[in-house]
Amino acid sequence: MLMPTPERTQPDLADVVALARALERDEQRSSRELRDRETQLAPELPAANEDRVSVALAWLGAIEQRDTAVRSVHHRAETAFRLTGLAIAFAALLVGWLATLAAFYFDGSGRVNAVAVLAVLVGVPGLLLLPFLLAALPLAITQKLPGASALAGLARGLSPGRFGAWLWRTIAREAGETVAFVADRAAAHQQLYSGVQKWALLRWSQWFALCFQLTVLAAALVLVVFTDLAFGWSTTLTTGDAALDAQRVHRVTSFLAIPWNWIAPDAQPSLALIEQSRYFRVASQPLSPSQAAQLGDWWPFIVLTIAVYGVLPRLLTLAIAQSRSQAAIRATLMTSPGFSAVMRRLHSARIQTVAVEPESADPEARTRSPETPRAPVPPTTGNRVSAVINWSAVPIDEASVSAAFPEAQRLAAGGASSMEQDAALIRQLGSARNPASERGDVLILVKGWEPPLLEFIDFVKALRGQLAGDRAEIVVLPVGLDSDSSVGLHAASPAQLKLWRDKLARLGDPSLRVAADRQEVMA
Amino acid sequence: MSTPTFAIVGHPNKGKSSLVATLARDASVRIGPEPGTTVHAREFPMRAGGKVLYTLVDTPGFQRARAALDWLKQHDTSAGSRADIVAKFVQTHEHEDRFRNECELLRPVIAGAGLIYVVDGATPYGPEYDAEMEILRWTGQPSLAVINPIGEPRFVEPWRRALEQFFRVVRVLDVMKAPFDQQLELLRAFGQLRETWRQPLEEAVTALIEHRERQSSDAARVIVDMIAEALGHQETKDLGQGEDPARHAASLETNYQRRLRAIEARARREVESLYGFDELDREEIDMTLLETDLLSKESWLIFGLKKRDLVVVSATGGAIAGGVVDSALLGASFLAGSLVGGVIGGAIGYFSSSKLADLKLLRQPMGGVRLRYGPSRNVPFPFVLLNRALLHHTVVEGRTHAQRGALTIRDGNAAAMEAVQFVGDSTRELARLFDRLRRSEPGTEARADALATLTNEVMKLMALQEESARDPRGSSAPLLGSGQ
Repeated sequence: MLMPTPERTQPDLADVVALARALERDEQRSSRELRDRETQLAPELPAANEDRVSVALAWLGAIEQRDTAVRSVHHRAETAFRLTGLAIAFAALLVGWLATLAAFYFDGSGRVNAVAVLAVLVGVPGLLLLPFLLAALPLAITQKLPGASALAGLARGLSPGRFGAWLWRTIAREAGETVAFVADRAAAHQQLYSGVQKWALLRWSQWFALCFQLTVLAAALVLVVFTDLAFGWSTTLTTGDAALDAQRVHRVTSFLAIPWNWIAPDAQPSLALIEQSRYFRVASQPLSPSQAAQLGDWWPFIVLTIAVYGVLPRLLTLAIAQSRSQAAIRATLMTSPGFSAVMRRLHSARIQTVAVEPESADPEARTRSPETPRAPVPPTTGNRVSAVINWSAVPIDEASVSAAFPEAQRLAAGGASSMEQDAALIRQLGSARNPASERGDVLILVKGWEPPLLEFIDFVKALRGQLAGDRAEIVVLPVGLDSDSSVGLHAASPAQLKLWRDKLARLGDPSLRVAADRQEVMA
Repeated sequence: MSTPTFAIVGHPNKGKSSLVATLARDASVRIGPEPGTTVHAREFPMRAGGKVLYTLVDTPGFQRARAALDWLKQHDTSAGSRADIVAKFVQTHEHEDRFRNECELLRPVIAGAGLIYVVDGATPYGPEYDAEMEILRWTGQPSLAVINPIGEPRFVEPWRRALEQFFRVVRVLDVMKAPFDQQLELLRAFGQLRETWRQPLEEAVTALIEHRERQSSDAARVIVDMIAEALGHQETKDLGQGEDPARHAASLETNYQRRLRAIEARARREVESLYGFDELDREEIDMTLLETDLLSKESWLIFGLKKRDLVVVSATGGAIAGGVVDSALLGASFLAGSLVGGVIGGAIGYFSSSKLADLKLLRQPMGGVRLRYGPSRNVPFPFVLLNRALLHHTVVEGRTHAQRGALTIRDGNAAAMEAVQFVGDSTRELARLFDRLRRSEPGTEARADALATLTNEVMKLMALQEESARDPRGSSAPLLGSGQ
């Protein structure tokens, strides 16, 4: 009995791995086994015409309940992917914190260069969006642009997502077998898994980037709150007019502040602040506390710039990567080799016509060994046939029988005769024979095309009982059907003869034989 | 309302189990020439969506019918109905070995099952059948007789005359070869035996028709997937610098052919499994490939880069480096840095690609020659695959579960090659779809669309084939070809 599993609609990477393992194990099973299993599972699963992914996940859940190997792979893959995500987040936190400390480095004698802070913490990560976009280009485009696929490949190769792939191999040491399996599977079905691989890498890279930006934002806020930051800006490329330089910078900062201008118009440096915060290293003077406090007014702008131009784009790219990754996982799940066969079997299982119970053991096995042989009564060859019994009205003309066995008594049993008539015939045959003088054989004509029934066996046994001590043989002659429907003594086919011989041989009566034709009867 | 149940009864070896195997689509039913192959009644419930619509019961044949009838007649003096006497017979003898078969076959009948009496139309009627039919008449259950001509139907008419004295409905059906529609017709006839059985049997027939349609469409999809896989298949071998390609060419070709045959064999198994046949032996002539010159050579570089890619990547790298200089000069250089950097980078990429192939990293060559065998570009090749698959499908679809022995398919290659000469209306459409398959990548929407469209085309061909199989005047000519 399957335990009910909560219905899931969204597969993850671990499902892809577990499904691949389950389908691989199915390859070792016979079609019959698989069909029987699906027949058992089908009633527990959603109808096959519902969402195929839901059916796939439910099927996988049911398989995992039966197969510990698949369950174990799923569990290990899930753990490894979770740990990888955590490790990436931790690495991003470390890098982000160090980068923020470096960018906000303030030795107390000068000012924090606001431009440098934004360049390091927002500009460079922003530029790194370009490789993401390149790597995310659809195959149809990269294939058409010469070199685009190579550049996209390079972008993926240099992506921090690679760190995730490396971690997935390293962290999951206990899942070594699973990793090897995934690697083999991916190598064997490169085209199938390429989408999943690409988007898994990009999702990890965007997860790293988002964690980095969030750390930067948090670290910047921490520094703003717990340290005294005095921001400034500086340039060598001056126009010679300080007011003009400041206006240019103000234009840039105003432009950058457009996204939040409507909600926080003060969160941008004023022209006066910009003019005031420009500094020259050679002329740098220690700041008075009031000046330092004023120069700290840059912070809302810096924090919001990090949030809007650092965090938000990465949130967006992570959402895109996540969504594309899920789509790739769903597509891969549906096109996994062998999965269509699962769906077909599940659908077939809705209609069942076969037997519920297996066929019982071969019934003939217990009766195939001959019964205990009777006390040997050596037959005399060359006996004349003293009686011919037509069993169940074999359609044969009397003249041909009379011609073949002129001295034999003509009798009939089976078929339309009653059981009482059969018994009387046997008694009659027994009483009419004198063992000392009469040694004629009894010939029974049977229909070769009909199988020997127990009713006939009963008759033969009863006859033998009546002829006990008699050295006469009982000869059974299966008569065949001729193609022209004539009614002569036609020989039965070899298959029919074999059937009669095998069945009667099991009686273990040495004085009972099956003859193929008239000559054999006389032999 | 109780589920309609039908006991398949009769003389031994007249095709009872074969009829059950055919109608229940169950190849596990034991069928043998020896009488007494079936010793226990075995139930075959037909379930659709979890609901049992009817049940077939395979029973052992009569072995001592005259003795049983004698017993019944001896007990016919009581005031009870004859059906009660039959029930009493079963009750009295069910633990005895003597009337084991008779009890097994009568038990479902006294429980209310309809009677399906099976005889062999290739052998003559005889008086030994009278006792059996008389016993069945005593049960009072609705009944139907099936004349099953095992071989030549020489005695169908005498049988019909004899049976019509005992049974309301008499049908002739070759249970070994009965086509699907004849099987359904027989099931409908079962439903006519009692008014309350009509609806569930009609429901069952509808479900079976839907199921058969689904099987066909699934089989079409399996065939199309097989063709797509075979068309895209290629064998590759990366050679290091200086390795002789000739040494590997033969093994690549062998592997390519072996793999194609394996792809075809797997699809065959799946189609057979769809129709409920497992582990069938197949007698089929192996596929002959229509082309043997599929070997090609190309140079390769590490990371899957081609020479063209390396040039583009190097040029881009150079342009970016030049761009840094341009930025530093605040545009004063008019992008000359990017331009010059791009040209220099591209040139370096172009001239270093051959050198890169000579290098080794961690003892692994960074480039070399790639030998490729396949994929096939031959136009008739997918037509041959499709024709062979359709031929196989026809044989599987027409096979009943009563048939034993290997699945014999006539010379598939010959039939397929004949087809190439044939120009059909759908041929051009198929050629176009095969071309789309060749050009699309697995996993893309274009591939999915091509597969779906081709599946529809294949289903149409299957329907045509089924029609021509039903029509005895229909020619056995294949349905399609390249028509080029």
